[in-house]
Amino acid sequence: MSPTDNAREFSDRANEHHLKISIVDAEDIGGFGAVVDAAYSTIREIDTTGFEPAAIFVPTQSKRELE
Amino acid sequence: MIGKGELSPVDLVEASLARISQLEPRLNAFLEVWDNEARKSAQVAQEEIADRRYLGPMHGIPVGLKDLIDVAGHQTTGGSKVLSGNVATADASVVTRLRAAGAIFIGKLNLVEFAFGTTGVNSFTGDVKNPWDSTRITAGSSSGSATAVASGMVPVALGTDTGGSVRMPAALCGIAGLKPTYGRVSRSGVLDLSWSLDHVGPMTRTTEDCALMMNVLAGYDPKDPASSSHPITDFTTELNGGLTGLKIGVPSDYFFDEIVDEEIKRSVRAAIDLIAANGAEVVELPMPWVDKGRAINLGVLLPEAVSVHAKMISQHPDLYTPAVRSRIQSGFNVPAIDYVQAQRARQWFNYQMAESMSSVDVLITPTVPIQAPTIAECTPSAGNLGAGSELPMFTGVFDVTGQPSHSIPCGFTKAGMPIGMMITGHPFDESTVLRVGHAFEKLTNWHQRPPTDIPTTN
Repeated sequence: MSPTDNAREFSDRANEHHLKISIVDAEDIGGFGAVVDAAYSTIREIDTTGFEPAAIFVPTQSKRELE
Repeated sequence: MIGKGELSPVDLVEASLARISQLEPRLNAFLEVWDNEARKSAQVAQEEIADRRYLGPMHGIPVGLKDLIDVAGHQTTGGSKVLSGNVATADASVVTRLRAAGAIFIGKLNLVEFAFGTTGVNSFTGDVKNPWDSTRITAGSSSGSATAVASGMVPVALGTDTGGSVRMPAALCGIAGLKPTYGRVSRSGVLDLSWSLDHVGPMTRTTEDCALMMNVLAGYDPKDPASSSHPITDFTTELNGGLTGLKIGVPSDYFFDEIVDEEIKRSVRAAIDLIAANGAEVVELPMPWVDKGRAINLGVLLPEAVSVHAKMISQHPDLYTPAVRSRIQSGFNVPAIDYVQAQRARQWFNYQMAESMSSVDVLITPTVPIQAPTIAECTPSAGNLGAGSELPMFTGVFDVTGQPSHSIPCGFTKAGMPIGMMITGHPFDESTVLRVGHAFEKLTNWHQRPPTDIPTTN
């Protein structure tokens, strides 16, 4: 949801996720919120079937293994 | 020269400090200058070298550090009021490596707050001025690093690059800047902006200096979970390999579109022609998918930046500058699926890039699509993002792929501002990227011109 759509709703929803943002700040996001919306809109249009990242999780080595 | 005793580290550090005193009030590149410490280190280096304990090309060389990088006993602020007084208890791994190589740390360099921005503007620490025209931006976020090197305050500096923050300011300030392969240089002890996109890289006057710094900086570090154990070679070995036998790819899409400034296009095309005339084969590469790279860069970066800042920005929103606070907060309601999808799209994008580049050694493109706007044009105000949002269009692509990518000067605009050319190679093949950069610098003198809006060095 773009912060420009509804600043109060944006702020309330962020607060539900323990991310505090005042209504004034939500209103101020303005133009950058539109840039963000456009970026995810572009990403959603990409057919990524079969392109799941394989290396998003890397096991942590113990000190013994590192040495 | 230092190794042969022809130049003293003490004299070099004094020259660096004198240049900083002369120019700093005008350029605002530094947040802290450690003159006493630097003088002591220079004295030690001089004695070591006189005692035939020369440590190599970085011994006795003054280095500037972007203020995201920890140095034990000094504060790391990220250019933000939020971290004022945040004193590091240990050196970042890159600092440990440089220290062991005998480098001398001159101080901390100005930057965009938390490196989250591309123009170099920072309303808390003050804007860094471009030494070619002090009314114009340096680009960012490694704004202080670029200006300090371009103006001769320090011969080399470290920057970081998440969407282009080494290469964009290198281009606009007329210096060389290398973003190494992701995982090549440790990020341990460097403040995160977006951990899967962050790179640390050298910013210098020449490609050769980038190679010399990479010989110290690169290598596996267990303190960085993304650090690579890929074998390290001497990055200077292939520098003089020339252009013959190399195949250069020039994208036929996106990088030379209408949006790109005509003077920039002309300079980069002329550089490519010169490279072709000196032995390289140049081929056009269709890349109809490459325009998605910038969106993927932002789509990955934003949720990671929110994760990094969630606690601090919820507790102290008023301590952030309004521009960076807005950028971070704009990611507060990005659904988890959008971040996962961005990472998936990144995998798709990397596959396309690897396929396209399979027939060439490097790509050559402009570094940025626009000429440097003025600082006034780039200063955000209520409801206005300011100019310069196009700056990371090209650089961000190669943070997504993690490929080594290097910006060097390739000309000047009619207004007298430097133009940058970007050379991008296969993952872990910094050597070929540097080889092309060095060969081009031997054919031209763009990198030797001194900035025009500051006094020349004595």
